Amino acid sequence: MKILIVDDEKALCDSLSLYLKKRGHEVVTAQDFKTADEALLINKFDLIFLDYRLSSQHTGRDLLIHARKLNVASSIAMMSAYKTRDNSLEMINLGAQFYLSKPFKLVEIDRILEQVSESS
Amino acid sequence: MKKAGHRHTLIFILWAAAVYLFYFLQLRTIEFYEYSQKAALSKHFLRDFYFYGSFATTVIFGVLLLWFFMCAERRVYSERLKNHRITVLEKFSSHIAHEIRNPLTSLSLNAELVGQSADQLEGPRAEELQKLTGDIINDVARLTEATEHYLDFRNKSNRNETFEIRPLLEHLIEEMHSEAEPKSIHVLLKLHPQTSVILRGNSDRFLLAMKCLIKNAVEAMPQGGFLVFEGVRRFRKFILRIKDTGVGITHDNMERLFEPFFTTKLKGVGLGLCLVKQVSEEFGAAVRVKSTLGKGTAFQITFPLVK
Repeated sequence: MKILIVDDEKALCDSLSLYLKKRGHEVVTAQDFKTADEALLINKFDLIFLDYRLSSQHTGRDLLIHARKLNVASSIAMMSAYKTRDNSLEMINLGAQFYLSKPFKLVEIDRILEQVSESS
Repeated sequence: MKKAGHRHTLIFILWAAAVYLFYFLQLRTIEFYEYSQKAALSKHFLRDFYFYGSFATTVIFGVLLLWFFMCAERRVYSERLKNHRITVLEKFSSHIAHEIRNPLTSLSLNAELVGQSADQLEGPRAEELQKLTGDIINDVARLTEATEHYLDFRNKSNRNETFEIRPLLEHLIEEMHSEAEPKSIHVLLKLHPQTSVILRGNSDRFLLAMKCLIKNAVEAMPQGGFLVFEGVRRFRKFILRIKDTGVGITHDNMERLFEPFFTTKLKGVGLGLCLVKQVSEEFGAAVRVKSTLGKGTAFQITFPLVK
């Protein structure tokens, strides 16, 4: 699968990218809205890991709305430092398929990868 | 406080002016009529009575008024200070939770990746690495739980739904059984089967508050005991009591119970009861506590009902 990781935390991008590459996936990382937007225009991703907060100027929520407007067909997994029922429902209504609460474990990543490959 | 002082002085002056105006009007009234000898004597007596009487009244009522407004101002000031502290705490909690949880994520992932690499090794070196990564992962879980307390406190919700309280409490008690039984804690729900209780607010926050109270109650009963949820309707209110037969709370601690970061435990952030108070306020409810050392503690939350 081709996977995009969007998070302003470089260490998190590196760790998650390392794991996904070990699993045999192609990975692109982005740490801000602009880089992520450019990546979305050039590539077709199967799965996007997207940080809910991202930055003060453009949040992950903004990018999610933007991606859906661009008719990006990828499955989207939102990552957040504090998951609540309110923002989970909001993200699902905006088009995210999965919601991860930070810090998350590799087994949760595996579950998402399995569901995405089954659906594709 | 300076503005309050000026206001008090002004009120005092206005009050004094009103009383003296009354005095002068009375004096003019008396002077208006023709008096007999008896009335002339009375006139002086009345004049003195009015003069000293109104002076004394002015002083007494002025002092009382000033005292009343100073108490009210002190209450308002103290409330504003408390709200300011809570706003700062909320911002601090949010900031610290996000600034900790993000690096915790990469720390946790890296520990797991090292553990996976260690699995491919053999011998004591592999075991040592697995133990070390296991310890890192456990500490990450501890820190995550600690930040959870901060975020729970910060995360007020505007969600305004109506919900029936009974199924929530029944589900909560059922969840508790597996944890309570090994500790010899008996959990009971005393709510009349015919009683239907519908509240307005965020049901998740309600459950969060209940879990905080349960946690405290369980910790107060290391030798086991009873934890009772008792609910009764009274006019347009629902009174929920959470009673335990634990060690109780000292009088000194009672006054500080709902203060942020106040805790008597070795481990703990000290935001649990502060959160309970915050959630109660979100519901428009009042929370009170009674405790007897050696006998137990009862938290009482009075909720307004939705019809």
